[in-house]
Amino acid sequence: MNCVKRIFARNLLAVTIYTSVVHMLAVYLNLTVLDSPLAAQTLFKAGKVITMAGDPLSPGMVLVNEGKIVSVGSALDQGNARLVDLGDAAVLMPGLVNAYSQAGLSGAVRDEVTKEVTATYKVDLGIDWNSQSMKRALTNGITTACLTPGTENVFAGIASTVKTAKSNAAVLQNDGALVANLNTDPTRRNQARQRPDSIYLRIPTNRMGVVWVMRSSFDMAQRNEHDESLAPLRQVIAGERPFFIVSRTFADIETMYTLAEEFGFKSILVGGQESNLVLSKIAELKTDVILTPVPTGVTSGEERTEICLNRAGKLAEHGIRFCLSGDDLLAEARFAYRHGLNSQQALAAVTLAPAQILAIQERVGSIEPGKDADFIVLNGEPLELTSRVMKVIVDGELVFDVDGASR
Amino acid sequence: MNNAKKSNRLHRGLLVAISLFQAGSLAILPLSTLLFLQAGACQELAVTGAKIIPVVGEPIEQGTIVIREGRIAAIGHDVKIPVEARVIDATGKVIMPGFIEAHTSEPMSQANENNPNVPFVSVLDTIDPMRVYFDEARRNGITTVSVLAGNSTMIGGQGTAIKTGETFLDAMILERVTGMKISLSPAGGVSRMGQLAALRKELADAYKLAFPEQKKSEATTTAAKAEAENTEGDEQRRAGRRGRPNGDAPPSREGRDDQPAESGEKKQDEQPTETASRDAKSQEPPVIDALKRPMVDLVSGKMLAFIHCEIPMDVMHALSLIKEFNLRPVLILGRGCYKAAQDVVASGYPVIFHEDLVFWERDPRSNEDRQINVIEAFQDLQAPFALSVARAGGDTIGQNYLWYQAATAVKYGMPQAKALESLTIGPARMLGVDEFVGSLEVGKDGDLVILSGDPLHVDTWVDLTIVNGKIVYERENDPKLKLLLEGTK
Repeated sequence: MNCVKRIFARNLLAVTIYTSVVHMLAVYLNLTVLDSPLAAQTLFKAGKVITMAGDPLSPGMVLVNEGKIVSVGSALDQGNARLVDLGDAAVLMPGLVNAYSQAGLSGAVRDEVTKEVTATYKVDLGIDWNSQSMKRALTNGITTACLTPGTENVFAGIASTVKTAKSNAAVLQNDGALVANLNTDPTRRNQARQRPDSIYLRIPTNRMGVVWVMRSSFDMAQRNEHDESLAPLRQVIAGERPFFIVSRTFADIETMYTLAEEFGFKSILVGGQESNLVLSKIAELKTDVILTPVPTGVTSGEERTEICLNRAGKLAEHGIRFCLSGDDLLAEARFAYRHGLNSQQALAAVTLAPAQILAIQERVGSIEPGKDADFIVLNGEPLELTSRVMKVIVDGELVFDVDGASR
Repeated sequence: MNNAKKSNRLHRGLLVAISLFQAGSLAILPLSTLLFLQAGACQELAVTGAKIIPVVGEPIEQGTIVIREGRIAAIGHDVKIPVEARVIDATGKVIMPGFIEAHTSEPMSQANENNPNVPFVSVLDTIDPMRVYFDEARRNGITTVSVLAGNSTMIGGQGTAIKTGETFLDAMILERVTGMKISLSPAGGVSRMGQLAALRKELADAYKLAFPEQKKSEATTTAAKAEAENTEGDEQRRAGRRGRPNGDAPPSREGRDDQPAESGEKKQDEQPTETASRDAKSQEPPVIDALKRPMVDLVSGKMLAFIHCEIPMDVMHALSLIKEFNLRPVLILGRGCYKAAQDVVASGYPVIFHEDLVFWERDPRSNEDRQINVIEAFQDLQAPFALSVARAGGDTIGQNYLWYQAATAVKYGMPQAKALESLTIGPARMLGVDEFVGSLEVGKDGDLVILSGDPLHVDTWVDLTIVNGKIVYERENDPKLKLLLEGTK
């Protein structure tokens, strides 16, 4: 009886697979073959193509085959390819890469409140692919995002780099960087003296405590090699896993270097509000920096950091590899440019630079043969305040269109 | 109101005279000192070589603008520059009228009064000219600010319009009282029913005081009738029929509905004998308590009603209150009010938009996420309008700046000319101060910004801000901006 059931189940599975393959084929046929018979390739043509690998092309063309870029040039032979003419006013550029994002992790699900060290927690199973923040990211032109756990744990967990347009299939890096917080956020909820009856007795409650938790965790990880819950820390020390440290103040950035020296890890600095005060050290130790935005309506940054609007320009002057992050990434690039970064670097800071920092530059970040066909189409120069993301193309497919989506 | 304007003018004239006298008496000082003095308070200023965008009228390439005694004396292509004028060469730059922020509580030390019903307070008593706000305002080209109480007080007190140029409040005032801030969004546990009932009662009481012969007009019961009239459709509203239902018609106040500003002035002249100036048949003029005076002024159309509508249903209530009590409104819209766009547009009333011009909304039932484009929803708006900045929680640092909000409006579909109006003549008309500010025309106040390039561009900066012909901000000489950009080290 059991056996029959199993056979039946197996057959059912086979049938399901068969139907879904047929279905997928049908969708595929619908999408491409019906448009222009025989065409498997698509040729995108725009008034200007900013490749981020060499000078912009105007006009420019990009030939795409099965979601990958085949060739890029000013005049490509259409051949059998289907032509998508985006118009002379259109500017085509690589999809934006947000190296520090919480899209899809909105609300309370970002922070684990029972423990201060949750190094093995992974965000990838907690991603809400249908969330509004994911759609917002996409319409803002962010096609790739490194999703990181929140800031209320000293060791918060493992980041995951994904394409915002797709679901689970589009994970670029499932098992990414370990994210730690060397700032006062992990103390935030622990200072509630009015709740001594809390079932959670959590440290740290101050900045020293944060450093202590981090230091003792590394120490424990080294001494107790069988503790699987601290495995990511050992991988970080061994240089096998990227390590994000979120620090904003001058003091915390300095502490990051103290701990790095003690335990021999290399980290990527996230936040970096006062990185302008530690420039020579950052440059000397070749630390990558992921800048987070200056909030609206404040006279000082997070954790009362001083405001230095031209942080990006300062990092660039010192030859430091950095990128920008934020929900409206293009606006961040525009203001970085306004405040002193040059235009080429401003664009790189939201495309190629974050891809390099995340080590996914083989896939995304520029328009070059072999890379994923992830583009955004703007109705003007990308750094102008009045230019809008009109279309988003991911893996060669149109996933957002203002004319189709806006109301 | 007009008297206030006049006295204000007089006051300014006096100031100019005093500074003239000072300049004369100091003539023996070294030249450098004199130059410095001139930079501070020069009597004649000529800006040459710039592209002038007067907002009202066509742009002038390579134009010259001459400011004398704080006011624009000449503007155009071939303008004779007076020999004694200080000349600023602005070749390659762009001149625009000083920007006007239509709604902010930032200059106040506290935005909201705890008591929900305080028509008698004035924001003037809480404006601190030393606040960082004014620094930032001048840095970003804002020369006139309409200061209003926050959105959390039912009747929040009287607002004012001030210039950003001085540090002594009396010298900053452009319009002492612009209007009354009213909020339809309840605060502190009050329900919307309660809020509206209380508000209606206050207005009705004031109405009875203002028009005592209408005692039996039962202002409170006219609400139902006014509401019934609401259903008559948009056509009548467009035709300007905003009178009360027939049987209860209030004393005729012809002209005011259609041309509020003009007849408002007419009333101004009568102000000293205000009570007697009501209709000829009025009997014994009642003595009006000073605390009640502002509400009486509000229902007699002597000041604007700044009505904050948080959600679409508030808009409907606002429209019926306006009709019921013959208010001269400015609608301050919450971001959800795009759903009432049709009614707002049809009403023809001025509008101040929420800082979020584009935002996302999730349908509670279908869970469908939609991007809402407020600019698109209001594309047929003809009335004057203004934009707001975000004080916290914006998407980018850009939302701090009025010019960025205008650029965002263009990004989402507004014609550029309209966006520039929203920074200048739009709010000026809305506030009834377009006689003085809002565009570059001969006779208007010498309030202008010299931009490093065309407006709304990413790398365009305010190089110079001039208020009443006086340079109040210079980018070249702004150590704080340098600190902001470069940090302390």
